[in-house]
Order: sequence, then structure tokens, then C-alpha cells
Amino acid sequence: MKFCKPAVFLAATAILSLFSQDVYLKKAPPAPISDFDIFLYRYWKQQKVTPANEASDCVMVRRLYIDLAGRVPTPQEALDYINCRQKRKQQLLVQELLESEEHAMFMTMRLGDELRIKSEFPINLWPNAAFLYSRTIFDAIRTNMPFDAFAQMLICADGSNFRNGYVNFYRAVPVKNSIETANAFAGFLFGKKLQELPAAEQKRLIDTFAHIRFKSTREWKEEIVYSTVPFSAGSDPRIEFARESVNSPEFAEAAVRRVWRWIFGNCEVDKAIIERLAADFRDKDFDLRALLYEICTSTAYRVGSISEGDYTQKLKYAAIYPVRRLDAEVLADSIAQITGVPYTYSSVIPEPFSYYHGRAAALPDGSITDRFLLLFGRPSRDSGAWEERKNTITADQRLYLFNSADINSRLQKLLWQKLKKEKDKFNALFLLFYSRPPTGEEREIFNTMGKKVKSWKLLARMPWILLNSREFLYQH
Amino acid sequence: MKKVLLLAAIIPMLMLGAKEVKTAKSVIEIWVWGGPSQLETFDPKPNAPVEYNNGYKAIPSNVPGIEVSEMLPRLAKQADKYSIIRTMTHRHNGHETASYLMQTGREPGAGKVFPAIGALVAFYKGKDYHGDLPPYVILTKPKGRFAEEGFLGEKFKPLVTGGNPNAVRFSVDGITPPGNLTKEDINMQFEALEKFDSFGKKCNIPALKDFDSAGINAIRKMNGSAAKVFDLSLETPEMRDRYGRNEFGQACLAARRLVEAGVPYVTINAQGWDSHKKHFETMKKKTAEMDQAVAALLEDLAARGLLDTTIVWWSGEFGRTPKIQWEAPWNGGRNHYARCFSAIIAGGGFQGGKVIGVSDAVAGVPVSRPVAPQDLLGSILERCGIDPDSKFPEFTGVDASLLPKESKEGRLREIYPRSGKGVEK
Repeated sequence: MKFCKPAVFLAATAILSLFSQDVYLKKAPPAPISDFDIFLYRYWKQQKVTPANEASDCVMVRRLYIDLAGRVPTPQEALDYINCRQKRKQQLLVQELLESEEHAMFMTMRLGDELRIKSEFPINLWPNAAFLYSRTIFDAIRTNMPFDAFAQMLICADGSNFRNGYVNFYRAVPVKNSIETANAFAGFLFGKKLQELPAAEQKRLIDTFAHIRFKSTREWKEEIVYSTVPFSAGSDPRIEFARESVNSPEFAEAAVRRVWRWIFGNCEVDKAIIERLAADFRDKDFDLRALLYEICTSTAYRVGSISEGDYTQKLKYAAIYPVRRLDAEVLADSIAQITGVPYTYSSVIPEPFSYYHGRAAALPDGSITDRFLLLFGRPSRDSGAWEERKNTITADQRLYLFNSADINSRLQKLLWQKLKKEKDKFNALFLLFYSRPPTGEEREIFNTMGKKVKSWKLLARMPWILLNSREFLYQH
Repeated sequence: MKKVLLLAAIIPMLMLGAKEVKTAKSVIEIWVWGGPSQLETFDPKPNAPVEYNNGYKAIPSNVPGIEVSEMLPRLAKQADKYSIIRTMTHRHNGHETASYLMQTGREPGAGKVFPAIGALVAFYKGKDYHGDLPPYVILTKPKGRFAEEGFLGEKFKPLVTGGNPNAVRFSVDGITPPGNLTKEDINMQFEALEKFDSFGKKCNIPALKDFDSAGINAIRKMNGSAAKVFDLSLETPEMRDRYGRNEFGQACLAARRLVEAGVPYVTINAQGWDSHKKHFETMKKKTAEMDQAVAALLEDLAARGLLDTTIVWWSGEFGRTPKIQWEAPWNGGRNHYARCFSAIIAGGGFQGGKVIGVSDAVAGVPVSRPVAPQDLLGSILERCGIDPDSKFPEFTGVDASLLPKESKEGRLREIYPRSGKGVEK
């Protein structure tokens, strides 16, 4: 964190190690700091729900980097935050992350899942168009384009798939007819399937897109999306539809639900909370960054993930942070960052082949993938439904992490190359994997076990132990 | 109506005391990634003009009247074990759409991703299978065209082995622990994993229980018979030589071991057949490996009595253009071609030594008995005891039959088992 002074970099390591304190929770629930927080406390009281205690700084820094940047923090980033004495350090870090390129990239991935950015079957956008579509969304997020304007750009898009990224929304509908297009827009704008809308509304949507046509050009795989009703004459029904759609309460609520899912995973939250955030979202002119800021600094976000009492009820009222397995891309990027060995992704079809070296979260095309991402449930982007992303943990995933040649060679390189000159490897490993130093109790376990099986042997297996633990594999 | 006729044929057979033909237990799919040329494999055209045939001859097989390309001398000697389909046909010349069609029997563009045949067989046959390995295994690299499990869900995603079966130690990702660890090391690390589980000790929620059960299943797979299945060193060096000491050959050997272990569906993803350029050089290398390995597989399965209960099918997503592209940049290549291509099918009760369909003089057009992808896949399902016309289970929410309706020419009933032959109860 840029705002922290170096003077405060006292050894948090020592502090945590000396006193065996709770590394996951503070001693009380988070104090309310915003109007939304006050609303939540009133609502919790009304529903007789007790919030979990506030998450510790170690947990919070990891949580923020994972949710907003799509990776675990580096040891330096974690220590910067843990040691920072500023009262508003969480708000400052949220702001810093929301303005970062990494965040725009990560949110592009999130939106790309829903918008089905994929060059191959069954979407068949083709690589050039998939790259442009991805870049268009990235630019919109980077410049914090109001979300209503973004939706209008999609609805009213016309032109070449290689020149106007937005038109690819139409091309990413697997069956190109007015019903399927209407269904895709119903999902994106209102979070519903077409058949869930009232009959009159269904008809209106279908009629709106009945004029959309596609034609190819002399350029290989270029396609023009156009309306048979001239847009310039102002008679294209999409103009009126776009204006009315974004002003409907369902639009704001669907957007808030989407963002909630990005931050808290696929858990159902009480409608009143969504409605409250949707009202704020509309008041702030559909400012996506402001919405994310409001959520990520709220008490709903600051609560810990460990608590007594009815877990399901607490989840419903956002009184506990939901524990779930890290997303496939976050896991791959975090493992690559920790071990210092990046992944390479590829798509062998369509020709020419695509190779990509870098962050999994930055992959511009759902067709570019690898075995790890497939195994850990990265969405196939076939339907755009949020259910496509799988965060369940399976025996095959655990076997891959236990024994695969890929993981084994990465962990070897971490210990004997990246941490070769590190004096306190035990501490360094905890910071890398858990974003916190080890507790006194954990050092004690190491010493006791080390005497039994030889310390160097145990240390050699520590990367494996930490990688395979719940604390690393889960967002909490 | 067809079912009634089938019953009418079976009942008298039973009354006469003929033995009922049992269904296949396993399937080995040899997926010839990229599209193999029909002319240099199972539909040779030695008399075709030079712009179609580059001087390759046809050789007789061990079945009178059936010839295959001279590139397949060993498979020629096993022709009594398989039937050749020379008239596979569809309309998709793109890898991805053709693969989808050949794997699901469905035309692309229905707005849904249907499960591939491997996932379907795993779903239905997996109910009676209780081995340590998943019911669908792919050797060694993922097909990666589309989510093969489709809407059946993650449970039917195939296990992709990774690794190289031709290496000294076939390290199957996940199943076999890294070679540098002793049993004591492995036990120690699992003990430490539990001791260092600070978060798990404090947080007791349902999501974390899945972590435990997945771990228990994983360890069961590691310690059970699964690891042994992939240990090719348990085979004699002679047996390994028979299959060919290359990645594909040893993958075929591993497939036989998987079938022996009861795995219902195994795919060998044979890559590198997309021979746009240097077609003949590619074919020479690829067919030599394929010829040796597939011939050894058929022979070995038959010798072990497994061929009767194991279907082996070999196909790509399409074939190659009959006309050779001698012009630059292809310089002797063949392009994608779906109108007419070859596949073979053996075992599981299918009769061997037959040829289905006749292609024209250059293997470019089916002249008789065209075979649609859903006919081939439907036949495989039917021989596995799965009704291709039955509906998908209710939980999928899909109101459709497992496969589209068979074509006018229908499934491959001409090579279904004869009464009293095939697998006996």
C-alpha cells in the first residue's frame, strides 16, 4: 500500500508469533461506518441475527486482493496492510485496488463469463472478435463507464465485429434469432430467462430484436450486425427499449445481484439487502466502482467467516462472510505468483492457434485454456449462466494438488530457487500462502514434529502442506 | 415398430435355446484428432488418378475381398476383428463443429451443449461400476473442443491422465505420487496437513466437509488399485514392445488395462492428424504407430477374451480431401473433408470382417449406405445396452432423446451380433 510509511514496518511476524492470538477474527463485530452499515445493523436486529466478529487484518488483506485483483497478495502487500496504522486503511486499499488495471482485468473476466466471450464452439466469435470484445469491456471498466451506458451500448450496437466490440453481444448468442437474442438480453439486463417475464414483456423484447440481421464481408470471418430499421432515423425500437430498460428497478437489482455474486460467491442473499444497494446504485448514476466500494467497505464484507449459530441464516442476511473454494483462475494465478512459475494457456482451435502467457484472469477468450482451469471449474462460457462456474472441490482436484507433476515441480522451484536465500523459510512460506506469519502455536507444531521426522524433511514438505490446506484453497 | 420387430426376432431364438447376446461392458474410443485421410487408411483407391492417389497401393487383408492401405499391414491381418465404415458423412468441415457432431450426434447450434458419447456411457454404465477410477478416462490429453460432460454436470467430466505412458514411469497426474517420495514421506505430509489445519479446526461449516470427503476419496484412489492400473511396468517388456514403444502405443496398452479394471469408457486422444501440409510424411509416421498399436490392442483384447465385451471404435471428426493439394503453401497436403470418410468398429458384439458402404472412385462421395454420426453413436449405445431413443434423465431439465433420430439408412444393424454369436450369458 502506497500510503503506509516504512517506519511502521515493524515485525508483525514477531507480534503474531509471540502472542498466540486469533489470526482470523477481531474481538467484536465490525463497527458501522456508512449508511448502508446502519441499515444492515437495523435489519440484523429486526431479523434477530448476530453478525460474526470482524475479520482480522490478515484475513482482510487476503480477501480484498482475491476479490478485487483476482490473486492472493504478495508477502510485501500483506505486511504493508497488516502493519499499517491508518484507521481508514481498508477503505484506502479498496480504492487503490478498484482503480488498478488488475481490477479492470479481473472484472473483465467476470463480465466475460456472462457475455460469453469465446472464439469457438458453441459461441464462435472468432479470435479477433473475442479479443476486441474483451478489450472493449476492459476499457469500459477501466474508465468506469456508468453501467446503464454500458448496457445501452450493447443494446444499440451496430457494425463490424472486428471494429465495434459491443456488437459481439449479438454474435455471442448461440442461435441467432430474435427469441434467443431477447433471452440473452433478458438475462443480462434483468437477470431472468425470457419465459420468466410477463407475456407482453416477452413479446416486446422479441419484437425489439426482430430487425437484427448479420452479413459477412470480404474479410475472413468479419460479420456486420445491423438493423433493418435505420438507427439514424431514430425509429429503431432498440433506442426506446434501451432507455426504458435501464430505468427499470429490475435492471439495477440484477446488476447488484451480479456484483454481489462476484464478491460473495453464489449465495442467495435477502432481497431487502439487494434492494437497498440497488437504490444506492441508481442514486449514484450506476457507478459500478462506487457500488463495489460500498460493498467491500461495508460491515457485510468486514465480518469474519467463523461464528457460532445458524450459518445458513447468517449467510442469508449477510452477517457472515461465505467460505468457498477459490475460483479456478484465482487459484492458478495465486499458485503462479507464489511459486514464481507462470502458466501458459493455449487454444488449438480455431487455427491459427492461440498461446497466452500470463494471468489466467486476463485470458481474453474462453477458448484459451488449460487442464488446470478445466479441472477447477472455470466456466465454459457456453450459456453465460453463472451456474457454469464450479467452486465445488472434487477428489480429482485434490489428487491434482496432492500429486501432479505440475504442482510438484512448482513447489520444488519455490523452495529451492525462489526461497533459496531466505533465512526463515517457514515464515516466508506462511506469508506467501496465507498472507500472514505463522502463529506461535504453528511454530510449536513445526518444532515438535520436526524433532520426530527431521526438521529439514518437514520444511521440504511445508509448501505442499500449505498449498493443500483449507486456509489456502478457500476464500474466507 | 423397430423394437417390436427386434423382439419378434429374439423371442423365437430364445425359444430354440439360442444364447442371448449380452451387451458390451466397456468402450475404447480411438479419437483420431485432426481428421485422418480415408485414402491412406481404410478406403484405399490405388486406381485413382495421380492427383488423388500418390502411388499408394492397397493390400489384401485376412478377410477375402477386403483391402486396406499398404500403410496398415498389421491391421490388415486383424480385419476379421473389425468392420470398416467407408461412408461416414456429415456437413461440417470445421474441427470444432465436426467434433461436436461426431461426439454428441447433434448438429451444433441448438443453444445447449449436449454430452459426448463418453459422458453418456459413463453416466449409464457407471451405475454398475464401483472401481476407484472415474467411469470415463482420457489418455492422455484433453480433447478440449467443448465441455464433454455437457449438461450432465461435472461428475461426468472425464479424468484426463496427463503424463506420458511411454516414459519410464507413467506418472498419471494425481493418482501416482511424485517418484521422489517414500511411503513414510507421504504419510508424514498427510499427518502434518491435519496438524497445521488451523483454519479447519476453527471453522466448521458444510462447505469444508466437502473438502474432507473429496480428500478421503482422493486418498482411496491413491492407495487403491487405481495407481496399479497405470503402472505399465507390470506388463512384460515383450507386451510393451508389441504395442510400440511410443506414446500412442503405450496409451493403447494403458487403455486395455483400464478396460480390464472395469472402466466403462476410455478415450485415447490420438493427436496430430491434421495434415494440411506434408500430408504423406505425416501419414507415414502416424499410420506406422497406429497400425502397430491398434492391431496389438485388438489382438490382445481378443486373446484375453475381452473383445467380446469391449467396443473399440476408431474415427476422426472427418476425413481429408480426396484431391491432393500440390500447390503452395500446402505442397502436398489434404484439407478437411466431411462428405465421405472412414471409421472402424470392433468388439462388443459387433461383427468383424465386414465393410459398410461404398464410396466413389476417389473416396469422395458415399455411393451406397451413408452413415450419419448419430447412426454410429446410436449403435455403440445400443450395444452398450443403452437405448439411444430414451429421454435424458429428469434432473437435466432437457426434454430430448439421448441421440437424434437415426437416419433413413439407420444404425449399423447389419453388423450387430448374429444369434448365438457374440457374448454369451
